[in-house]
Parts: sequence; C-alpha cells; structure tokens
Amino acid sequence: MSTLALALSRRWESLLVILLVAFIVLGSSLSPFFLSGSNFSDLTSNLMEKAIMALPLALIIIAGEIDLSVESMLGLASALLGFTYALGWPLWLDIPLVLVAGATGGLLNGLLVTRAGLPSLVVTLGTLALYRGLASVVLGPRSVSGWPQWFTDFGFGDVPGTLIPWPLLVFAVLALAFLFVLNRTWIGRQIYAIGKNKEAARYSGIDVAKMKTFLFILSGVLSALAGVILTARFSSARADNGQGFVLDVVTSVLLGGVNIFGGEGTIVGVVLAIFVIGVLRNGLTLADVSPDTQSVAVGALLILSVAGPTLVRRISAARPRRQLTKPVSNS
Amino acid sequence: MSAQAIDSPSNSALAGRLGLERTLTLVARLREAGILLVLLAVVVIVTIQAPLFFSVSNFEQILLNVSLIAIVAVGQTTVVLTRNVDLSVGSVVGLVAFASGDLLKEHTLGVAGAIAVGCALGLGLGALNGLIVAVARVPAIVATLGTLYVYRGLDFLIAGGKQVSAIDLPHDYLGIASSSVLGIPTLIVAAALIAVVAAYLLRNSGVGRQLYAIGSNPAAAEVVGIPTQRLIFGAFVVCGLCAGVAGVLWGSRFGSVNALAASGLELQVIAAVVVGGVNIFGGSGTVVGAVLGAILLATIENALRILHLSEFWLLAIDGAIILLAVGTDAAIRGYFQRILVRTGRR
Amino acid sequence: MVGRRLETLFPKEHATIGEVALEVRGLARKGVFSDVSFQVRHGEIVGLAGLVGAGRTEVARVLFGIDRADAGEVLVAGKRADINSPKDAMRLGIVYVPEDRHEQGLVLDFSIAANVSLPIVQKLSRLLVVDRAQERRLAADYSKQLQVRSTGVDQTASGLSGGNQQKVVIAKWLATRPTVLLLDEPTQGVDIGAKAEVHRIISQLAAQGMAIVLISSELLEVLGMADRIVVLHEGRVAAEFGRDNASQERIMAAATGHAEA
Repeated sequence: MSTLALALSRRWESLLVILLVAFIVLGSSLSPFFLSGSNFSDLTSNLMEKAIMALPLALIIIAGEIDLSVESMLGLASALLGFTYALGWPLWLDIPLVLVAGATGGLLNGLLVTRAGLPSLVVTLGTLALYRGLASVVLGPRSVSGWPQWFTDFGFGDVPGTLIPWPLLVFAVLALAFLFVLNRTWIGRQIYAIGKNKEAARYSGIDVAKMKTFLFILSGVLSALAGVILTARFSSARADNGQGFVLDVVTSVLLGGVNIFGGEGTIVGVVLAIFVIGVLRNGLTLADVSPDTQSVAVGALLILSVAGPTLVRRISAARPRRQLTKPVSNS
Repeated sequence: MSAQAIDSPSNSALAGRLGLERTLTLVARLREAGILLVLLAVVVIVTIQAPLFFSVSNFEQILLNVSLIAIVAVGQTTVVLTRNVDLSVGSVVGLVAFASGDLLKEHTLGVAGAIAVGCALGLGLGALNGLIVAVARVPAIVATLGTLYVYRGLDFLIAGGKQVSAIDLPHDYLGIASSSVLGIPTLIVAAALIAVVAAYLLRNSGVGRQLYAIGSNPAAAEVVGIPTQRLIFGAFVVCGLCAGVAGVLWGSRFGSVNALAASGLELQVIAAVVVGGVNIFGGSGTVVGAVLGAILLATIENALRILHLSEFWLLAIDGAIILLAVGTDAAIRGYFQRILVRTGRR
Repeated sequence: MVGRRLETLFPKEHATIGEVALEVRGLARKGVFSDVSFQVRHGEIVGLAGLVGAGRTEVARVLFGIDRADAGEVLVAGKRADINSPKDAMRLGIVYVPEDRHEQGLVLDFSIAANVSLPIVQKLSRLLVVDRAQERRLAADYSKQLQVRSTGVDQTASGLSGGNQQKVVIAKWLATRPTVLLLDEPTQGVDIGAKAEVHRIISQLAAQGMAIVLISSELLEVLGMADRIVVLHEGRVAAEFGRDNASQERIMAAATGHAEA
C-alpha cells in the first residue's frame, strides 16, 4: 500500500478505536451489567457469525465487487444442515456437505460476475433471494433441533478453562489468517491491484476473473460456516436463520474503512468496526431497545461511514480556494 | 507529429452508438412483446392443468395483487433508469401503511388527511434517499440498504409490537381498495393511471429524456449541461411518492398492518422491473415493460397457488428470475454490440 | 519539421539481427483488422505505423492475449502459439507496454516497487509471502538502469512525471525477462529529455537481442528507430518498408490509403 493510503487507514482506525471506547463508556453508563464478563461473552457470541462473514466480504469489496447474498447462504446452510441431520445423516458428513454447498453458491455468484459479466450488486441481490428461497423450500417453516451435546457446546460454550467462546476462537484464527493474506501475500497484492485499477491489473497478467471467483467461493464457504455455528448456538436449524444479518456485515466492512469503490481497506479496521457495532447493539439491548429498532442506528452508521468521508473531502476541497485569493508577492 | 484520422474512433463510435440506441428501442418493443408471449404461454399451460385459472374473477385477483407492486415499480423504474436503485421501497410502503393506519385508528386524522400524510411521508422518505445519494454522493446500493433498515426500524419503533387491525379503520378508508370505478376495481384503475402518466412523461417530456441520458452516460450528461444530481434527487422523490401511495393503498387493501408489512417487497419490485426489460445499468427500459413484468410475476405466483405448488418457491423464483432476466439482457446487448462493430467497420 | 529527414534525438545503436522471434500470419479480428502478416527478428525494431484507428493497438492486444483473433496464426520462435490471456503471452515472452499508462500501465496508488513487481509478484513469493526485500532490490536495479528519477522505490507512482512513469512501466515488463516487447506510443506525453532516454533504452534493448514492435503515430520516431516499417490502413497492411527506402511521404501515402504499387 502507498504511504498515503497507510496514513489514512491509521487515522480511520484511530477514529474507530475512539468510537469503540465512546460506545463502551456509553454502554456502561446505561447499565451496570455492561462491563461484566458474562455480558462480554454474550456480546461476542452474538457477533461471531456476522464477524466471520465480514472477513471475505472485506476482500470482495476491496476487489471492487460486493456480496449481498451472505445472509441467505447462512440460512441455506442452516436449512441444509437441519434437513440432512433430520434425515439421520451424521454430522461429520453433513457439515462438510453444507460447506461444499456454500462453495457452490459462491461459485455461482463468481461465474455470473466474471463469466457473464453481470454487476455483482444485481447478481448477489438475486442470489440473496434465491438462496433464502431455496432454504425455505428445503426446510419449510419447521425447525430442527435435538443436536448432539458436543455440537451445541461448540456453538454456545467456551473453550474449557477460559471465558473465550469457541466461535470467538474460530473468528480470531480466521481474522489473523485474513490479515496475513491481505498484508503479506501476493494474493493480497493482487486484490489491491484489482481494486485500485482493474484494467492495469489485467494488463499486468493478473487473472482477475479467477481471483474474483475465488473470493466469492470463499465468501460462500465462510457464510456456510457461519450458518453451522449459528445453528449450533441456537440449537436450531431454521430457513430464516440470519435474516437481516446483511446490514451488520456490510456496515462492519464499510465502517471498517473499506472503500465502497474498492482498492482500500484493512482487516484491522473491519475487526474494530465489528466490535463497534457489537458494543452498540449490546448497549442498546441492555437499554431495552428491540433488535429491529437497533437497526436504525446501524443503518445510520452505514450511511454515515460512506457519506462522512465524501462530505469531509468536499468541504476540504472547497477551503483552499479562499487562500488563493491572497495577492501573490512579486519576486 | 501525429496525424488525426477523419474517421476517428470517436466518430465511428458515435455512429455505432446511434445505431445501438435505435436497436435498443426495437429490443424494448420486442421485450414487451416477449413478456406478453411468455404470459400467454403461462396462461395456456396453467389453464390446461387447472381450468379454474382462466376466469375473470381470478384474473381480477391477479391484477389486484399486481396493482400495488406495479405502482411501486413505476417509481423504481424512474430510479433505475438513472443507473441507481432503491432498496428501501418495501420499508417505505410498510412504514406509510402503518403510519396512516395508526393515524386513522387513533382518530388523529380523517381519511383524506391520512392519505395526504401517507403520501407526504413517502415523498419525504424518498427525498431523504435522494439527499443521501445526490448530495452526499453515497452509492445508491449502500444508501438505500441503509435506509431499508432505518425506515423499517422506525416502523418498529412507532409500532412497538402493536398492530393496526381492520376493525380499527373507518369504512371509507377500507372502501378504497374494495370499491370499483365503472366496474373495474379502484386499485387497478389507480395503478393503470399512474403507469400511463409516468410512461407518457418519461417518453415525451424533456425531463424524461434527460433521465434516460443520465443513465446512459452520466459523465456525458453532465458535460451537456443536464442537472444530473437534481434529477437523480427528483427520481428518488418520485420513487418515494409512489411507495407512499402504495403504502396508503396497502393499508386500505389489507386492513391489518404490523411492523412487518411489505417486508421483502423490494425484491419483488426489482424482479418485476428487471424482467420488464429495464436495464440495471440505466438508460433503457420502459414503465410499460416494468408493469408487464409485474403482471407476469403475479401470474406465476397465482399459478403456483392454483397448482398447489409450495409457495416457498416464490422467493427462489424471484431470485432466479432476476438472474435470468439480467443475464439475458446482457447477452442480448452484447450480441447487438458485436454485430454493430462488425458491420460498422470493414 | 515534417518534410525534412531528421535523425532521432539519439543515434540508433547497431544491433545484430538474429532469428525470427515473432511471426504473424494472416491475423484477423472481424471488423477491426484482417490479413495482417509480419515478422520480427531478434535485435530488430519493427515500426507499426498508420493513422489513429488503423488497428495497430488492436493487433498488439491480440498478440498480448487481451483480445482473441478470429483467424490467422501467431508463431513464437517458429512454433504455433495459442495466446488466450496476458498470462499466456507472458509465458511465451511477449509483453505489452500499453498506450494508456494511467489506465492500463500502472497502478498509480502503488509504489514504484509494487508496480515493477506486479506481473511477477507470485514468483517473488515464498510460501505465499512476498519477498519485499527482493522486490525493492529489483525495482532499484531497474530504476538505476533506466534512470528513473524518484525519491526512492517506495515513492507512489502518481508522484512521478510522465516520462518516469513510462520508464517504470518498461521496467516492470523488463523484469519478466521478455523476448518480444510490444511498445504502444511509448513517448506520447513525455517531455523531450525523457523521450531521448526512452529511445536510448529501446535501442539498447534491441542491441541486447530483444525483438521490438514499436507502434507510433510520430513519423520521425518511427523513421529514426525502426529497422523496418509496416504501415496499416483501415485494418490491412498497406505497405512495408525497410529503413533505407522509407520516407515520411511514402508512409503517409500508405497510411491514408494511397500506397504506390
């Protein structure tokens, strides 16, 4: 990354830290339970599925595309898991099958965007509907429960001896992996190149189609994984699992400093944004605000995170003109 | 010193472009004819399986179902023509439906007042969308994804778990949806009127042509002096107004409204618009096409019900249709572009 | 300036012409160009002249795998080549320095080092990790060789002058160790001093045995640099001249469709 982009990212990340601290302070003033260990556990466990989906979405948006279908892939994964489990198939078979389904869904997105040349907005809007629709075809209105103990322990419990929920551990490992890939590997370099200048990337021998398809497949697999985790956490497979998640996931990425037009963004920023939203929601929940009403705040954050920098840029671009009217001294 | 060719790329591109536009108008007409053909095919196939399908009362049902979506689709078309999208329409319809119903329930306003407030609310919400997109320059997907949840959240806030039921509403209000004008249900007449007016304005007014120009080539439109941002703002206002009207009529039609009303409507509307041949890249498509698309989708929905197929397929079908329609459009466009390139030059 | 026979700003170096590196036979792309044939040997600079829109860039794009040909064949070192992507072209040793260096040549936000390494960034990695030290060394070496004026290999490409940006693009392709170099208007928008330097570089590369295709709308540049000149007119080869029997008048005549028999 260029030094200028690096400097701006650091500034954005600092802003996020300030915002996080501000929300924590706000939260603790709203409720005495806020700073307790069990609340922290609650907070993070509610967050992890969305957090896991935000990681590949960050890469996709940096590469100049978008994936709105993540929440529906989660739902489809949950439905497929429930369906196959209810058929009597063992979980060690079901879970990989569901992940493969996720990869297939991602592949469809990828092919439609790269081969058919369709805009990812429309494609993933279509698959947002299609995958959720398929989920309700697969499982209908019913829910599947009766999961093995180890499965629900994984979704709901902590790593033995610690206060760390298993899903948090999974997320932490994934986040570190993504951080590594984006910052230090040739894959990350190609992703940034594609995002900053797709034409130049193509003219430099980068297989843009292959990379984008790979990213969509990755998003599909991780959305399916999130579906498995959510099913374990709720001990219930439902076709409507994850409905409404897309808001938080997209907001995490854009609030995290990833540029909606591509080419810029960091994993650190996204992780910070994930927790900013998590803390915000948690605080509002403790203040008796319903999740649907909380979305007003998150939706506003989404809009502001994109509108803010644009407005700041336009204001600062308008300023220097005043200085130019000063008379120039003759030499 | 380089030499400039008389037949420079810009000139041949322009000629090719004019040819492309004329071809696309032809394609639009073909598209509308195509939808009618598919519609005919669906009607024939389903009638063979279930003769009940082919009746005036059933068709009336279909058109009634379509009328609300068609009204919203008219507004969405206006926005999509400018190369934008409005994902918040479902939330606007739901919020307006609940708000007007609540105002009537609490006897705060009379029917006329509630309708006025409902439409004004739709207009205002549309204006807010317009501000975010045109002034703050937030891309429409992000802006309206955000407002989708903000407006729905506000709906939940004012609803607070309660709902408005048909018993709470005055007969005059409910009567709007169940009444008829010259034998045709009011809803259908209203939808048809709105569609005809919008279609006429888009096709024949200067503003309409400017909207098409913005969608075709935003940069060129700016250069030529078209007030793009102002027009885009206007398009979102129109879309919000249409959603507001639909919201008022929704309350009249369904009576019971809770905070979840019209959830997911945006997907149905976008599917209708896209099937109707409105190009998601902007610049081409017609209101007539969008309405036909809505009718086709409603017919398929009705057919599924009559054939006792699971209604759970509806959402999946909407999604698949969006993909198919956009894919086919892109293929057709690409095909025509290649032909023009090959015939335009030696 | 037109009408006088001038040497280039920098005298052309002598190069030994070797075997045929690239041969194009009857190459065609419907509606764009047809029946294009020419050869380029090692050490040779073939100028591709013609008016804007004659199809020269389009031919280069097919050779580099950006576009596909509808007919004809391309032979690299005598063997039939199937070029479906820039990666294929690179593997065969064919590289393309595009006309539009901002849109196609460089990632302006990237540093010089990141730009130079971009085509080979996967090769510069061990276990996925990019070897940053090697990358900077590579960029520094080429920077020195091509005399790129910058504050260092970490400088963002957008901060460089047009001429230096062009050198970075050339450097990036040289780093892939190509055999055939396709240059598309390499000195367009470049100041006169840098222009001379780019010409010097091209000359040197030819002297080192590289096969070079020079697409240029500047007659003097083509006349000064090329060993042979192929003139395209509306997608067809109108004429071919050797260095000795070429002139501005004859090139212009061919380019405008008035080729002599």
